Amino acid sequence: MSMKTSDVIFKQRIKEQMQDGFMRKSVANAQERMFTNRQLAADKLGNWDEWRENGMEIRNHVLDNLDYYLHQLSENVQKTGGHVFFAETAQQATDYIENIIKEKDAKKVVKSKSMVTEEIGLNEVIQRNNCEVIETDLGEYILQVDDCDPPSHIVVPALHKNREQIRGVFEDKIGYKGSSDPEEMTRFVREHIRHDFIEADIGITGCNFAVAESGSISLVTNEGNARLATSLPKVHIAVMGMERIVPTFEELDIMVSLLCRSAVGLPLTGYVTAITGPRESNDMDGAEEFHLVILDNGRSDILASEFKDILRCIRCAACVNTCPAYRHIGGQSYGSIYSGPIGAVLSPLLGGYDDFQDLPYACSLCQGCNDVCPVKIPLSDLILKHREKMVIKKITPLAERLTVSAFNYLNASPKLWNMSMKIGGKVAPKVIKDGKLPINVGAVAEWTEARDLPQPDGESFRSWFANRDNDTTSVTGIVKAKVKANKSEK
Amino acid sequence: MQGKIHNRDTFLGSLAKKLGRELNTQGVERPSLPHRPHHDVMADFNQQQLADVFLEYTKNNLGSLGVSCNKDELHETLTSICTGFNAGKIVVSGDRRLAELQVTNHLKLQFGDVYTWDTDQAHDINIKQAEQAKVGIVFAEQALAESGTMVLHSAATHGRSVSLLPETSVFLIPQSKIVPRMTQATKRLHDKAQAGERLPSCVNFISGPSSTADIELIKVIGVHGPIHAAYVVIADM
Repeated sequence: MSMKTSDVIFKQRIKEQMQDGFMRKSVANAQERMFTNRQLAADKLGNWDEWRENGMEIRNHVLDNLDYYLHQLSENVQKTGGHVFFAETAQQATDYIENIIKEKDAKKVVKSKSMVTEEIGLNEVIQRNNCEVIETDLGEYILQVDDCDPPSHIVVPALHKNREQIRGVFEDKIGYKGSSDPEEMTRFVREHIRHDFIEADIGITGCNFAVAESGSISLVTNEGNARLATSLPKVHIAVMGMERIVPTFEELDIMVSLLCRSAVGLPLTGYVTAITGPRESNDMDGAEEFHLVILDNGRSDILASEFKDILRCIRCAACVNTCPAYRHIGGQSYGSIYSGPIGAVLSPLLGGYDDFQDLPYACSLCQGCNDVCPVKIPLSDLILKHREKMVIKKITPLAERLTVSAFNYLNASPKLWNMSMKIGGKVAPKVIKDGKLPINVGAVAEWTEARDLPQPDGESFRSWFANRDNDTTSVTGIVKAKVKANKSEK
Repeated sequence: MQGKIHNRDTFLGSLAKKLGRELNTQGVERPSLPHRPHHDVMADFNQQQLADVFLEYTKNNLGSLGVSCNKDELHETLTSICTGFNAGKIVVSGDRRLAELQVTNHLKLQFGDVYTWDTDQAHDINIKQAEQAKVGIVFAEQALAESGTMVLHSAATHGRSVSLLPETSVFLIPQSKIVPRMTQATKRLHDKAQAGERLPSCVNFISGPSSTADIELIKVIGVHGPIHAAYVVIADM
């Protein structure tokens, strides 16, 4: 799977997704719970905004000095005996990893959850080398077993499936015979893939934050699969987006504290693991070989653009968990591995407007996401910026551009505007019948699908406003007439 | 042995260009943070208070067993924990602090089948022993009161697998080593790094047994890592 998860057009995707009652209920329920947990954790600290400001400061400093910190990181990884590959493109990253697979003649790879490896479409590359790849995070495993169903949430990827659906998938694909009890299914998966960790030649992980001062990478997880994937196979490959770095362990403290609270509402997740290089010479477990792949894949262009702030993102999904648009359409509607507000900003930047031009419109600009972001990314401003950019680049639909041009033309001249409003006021009652137009096109058609147009009274707002004092049926008219009458009596 | 760095010059050169300046690999100072809320957490707590918060959090939020005992009660405590978890085979970290506390010797007498992580044995043998064990016993470097977390540093004698492969993890921590939060634990790693020391290849912050909420957001304890966790605070250590 690469970043793009669907070829169906955006509006069609939304229509299909919105028919899925379970998904909608489940997303709403999940949002409630995750939003509440995050809020409770933030409130408990009492000075959440100070934490956020620290987080923003750290992330901005790193972005401004990214070359320095990446250089320092690579020096320190090298000192521990680890290898570093700087990949400018997804292809360079996958080529490097493919070479390792070939060189080791690897037959099995275990992966822990990593968005960046999804972004570069790593699994397909591994598989074309006759090498099995097992996604070991439970949510990712469910999706992989279900013929690589796309994820719908960056933290809880199988959020759109209910336990019965998951039981069915397990029964069909991996011979599960038990009930739909989540605990029973989880234990089954534990037993079912434990041998894979032991047999795997290579473990592949992402990286929540690399630590420049020591050449370490940190993984923030719950299930224990990342620990297994980094402890048992002989080779460990970590792939990181180039911006996911902190100067020292002191900043790691702040960032991990923000991440865990924002993602799951806890002070820390079950496991925060810091891996430094390959195992030491006398260690009995841990990978003998460590590779760190640092990926640009469009990030340096973002850094140089007006969208730079998005690179502060720490992938906590707090914005997703608060977004009303996401709540209605669900994660798969976005057609990208990144959904919700972060997806609406990031997908067009990393994947281009050709594939993701609709996503900035999956937003009501309510700004709820700005308020919850732990590193204060002005997400809704960036979404609006995408829309502006697309207008300037003339990527928006022709009909929309013509309508806006016509509006601008009329609006620029008071005379023309008044005249067109008067004409509109007269024509509207003749064509609108029972709240509908005879021909429904464009935005009007979408609007009237669920609502009725108001029944016009043949007058424009401006002419009503100008005459309102003389209108004996309007409240203003009645009040003013009374005041006038009282005055004349006195 | 030093590792290899590939493609760095081109990559960083082009990155610097995008940043609108020359490549800079020296002399950057970290900014001091605008706020210090992380230093205020439980700043005036004594060790007993930290231990209370730690055990309370462990019990209420992590679904783990948390107990406090003195050194002379440790053997008895471990016996009852291992019995409670129906320990068959037990694997004990090769940590000298556990040896000094006579943990392995005691458990051998009580349960018989006890393996100590052994650097003289092959990798596969150690892994196999840990894989077969029901209970793994480790000694933690620090514990974090705020999040009920045990901090483990890997070493030749402290295999990562001891707290990973068995169904139950038992952590021992001296009360004097409990700190308020991650701030104090990361400071220790920061100081090491600044002193030019190589960090342990794996540092783990472990809060309870493994868990997931990937199916309908229902929390299930016990996924790929341990299913149970027990924390033993040694009060007079």
